[in-house]
Amino acid sequence: MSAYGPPPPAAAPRGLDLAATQPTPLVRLVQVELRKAVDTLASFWLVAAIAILIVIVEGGLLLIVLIEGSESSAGDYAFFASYITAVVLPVLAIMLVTSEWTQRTAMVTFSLEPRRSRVLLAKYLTGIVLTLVAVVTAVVIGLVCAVICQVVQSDQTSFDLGGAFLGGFLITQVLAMSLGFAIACLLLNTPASIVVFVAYRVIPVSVFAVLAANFETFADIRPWIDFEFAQGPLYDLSVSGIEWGYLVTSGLLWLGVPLALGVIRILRAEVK
Amino acid sequence: MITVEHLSRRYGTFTAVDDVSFACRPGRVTGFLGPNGAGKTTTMRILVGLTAASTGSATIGGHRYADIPNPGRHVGVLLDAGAQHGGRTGREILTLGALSMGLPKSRVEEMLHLVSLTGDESTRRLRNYSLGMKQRLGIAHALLGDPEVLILDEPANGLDPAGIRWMRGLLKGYADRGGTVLLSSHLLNEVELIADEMILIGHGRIVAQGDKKSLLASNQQTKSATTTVASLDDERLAGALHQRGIAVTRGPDGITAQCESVDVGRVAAEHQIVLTDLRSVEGGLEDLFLELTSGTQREGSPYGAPGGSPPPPPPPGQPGQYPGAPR
Repeated sequence: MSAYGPPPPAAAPRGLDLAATQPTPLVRLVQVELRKAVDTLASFWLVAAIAILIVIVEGGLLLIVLIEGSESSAGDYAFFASYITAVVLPVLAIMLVTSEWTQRTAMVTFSLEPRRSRVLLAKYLTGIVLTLVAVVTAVVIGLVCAVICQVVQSDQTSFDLGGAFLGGFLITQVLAMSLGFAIACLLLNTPASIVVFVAYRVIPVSVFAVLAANFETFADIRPWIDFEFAQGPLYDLSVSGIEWGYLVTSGLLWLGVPLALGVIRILRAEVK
Repeated sequence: MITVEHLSRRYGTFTAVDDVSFACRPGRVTGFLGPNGAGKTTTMRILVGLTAASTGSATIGGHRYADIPNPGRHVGVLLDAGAQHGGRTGREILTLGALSMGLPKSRVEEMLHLVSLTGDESTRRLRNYSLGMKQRLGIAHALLGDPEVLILDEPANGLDPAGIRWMRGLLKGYADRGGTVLLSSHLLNEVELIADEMILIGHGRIVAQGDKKSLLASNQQTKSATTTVASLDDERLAGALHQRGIAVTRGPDGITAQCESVDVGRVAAEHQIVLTDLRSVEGGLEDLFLELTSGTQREGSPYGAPGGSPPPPPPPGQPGQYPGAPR
């Protein structure tokens, strides 16, 4: 090909023998992503801060309940623990995606697994695993606190965890995590994603409420496009009939569209 | 092993890689040499699928990179030693790589030992690494999966002379065992030391390729010979050379003559002039490199024509003129 110097050597006949190599299993990719989610200083302090916050809140709650001798159940304690983790889970999901770009590790990640959709799937599954871990942790904390109350004041203590609540919490948390994941894929920047995520959850709700209060016609449309509103019945797992329709349409609009655009962006992006 | 055919990458109207074709053979270290922004990195990124090609193809062992299962086991890649999480330790970075490729943890220790990162250094966070340490870690990461092919972008950048010598030994040994190495650099000295073959690239186009000897030989053919000479009577010698029709320039330390050294010696013998110094001037690789790559940077270069054949190199010594160019 070159006009200068000798012609380049002909393409080597020897190729790569790929027969013995198995593709990287998805489980292994999830293992790697789980490890990456907690092995940096930033993620360590995030988790540590949550642990400290939970200890303070649950400890204070226990103290008040025991001093006043009031009634309590395992579900009460689990609720507070899960409420605290709920703030952090979407942030962890956001960082799963954005840290690859802000720290430029995407170059290595996509070199080791060039099928980017599998990396994204592994990251999403990691987010779900982390959500499950949070719910299980909340349950364990709730039970431990209930045991302590049981020892001191067995009459006022119940071990009722509020199963419907925990199930609803798990589902809405997965949705919140998915939303953080979608916004992160779309923006690929940690602070921007967190800001947009918070705005996303606060601003549409109030705008819709104001609109619905002032325009009667909008009040009819609102359930179909208000994702927060549609998730209401999910919290106690009482979704029924038309409410499923609300969930699907508003979910597609607020979660499906950004997720699709974000995934397309990452699949096509030039990784720098 | 690495085959790149008619590869181009355009960003809008800017062409970063322009109809590039080359091949890298097993058992050889191929140096990819060019000034900054010449298209080396873009070509390597296309090779590993991080950037999409506009046209053309790039394959490794006959496969597109994206089609290689668990590619870390076949192709070791180091594109940017700094592109790792600053909050992770060197050991953690290698552990993640080993985990991802399905390798035992012992492999991490082996690689740390291979690149001479001590136990203490391996537990430091990457943001506290020097550039040289990052490069060593990057090499260790590339070699983790015991690949048959290595693709390294500026691997010697930031290494001290001893580090460059170490890398030369490492890559030579790797190639001698049948490995294929493609490494890039903007520094000729590095590539000259490490590579068996060279690909010179300037402004997205390959301007020359081959081993060092043949590159120099082809340069000599097209270049008119130059000789510097000093004698006890420079004035008489210059006059005598001039009479023979040889172009001469007088300098403070002697004469520069546009001919072979043997011609100067013959003239001196005929006129019985005592020579004190006589040597032929050889254009080194550096001259060649600068000539070839500067030629492609000139505006109005006819090489920019799309779909054309690879560029004819500018004849050295005649800046600004190209064969086939409108004169």
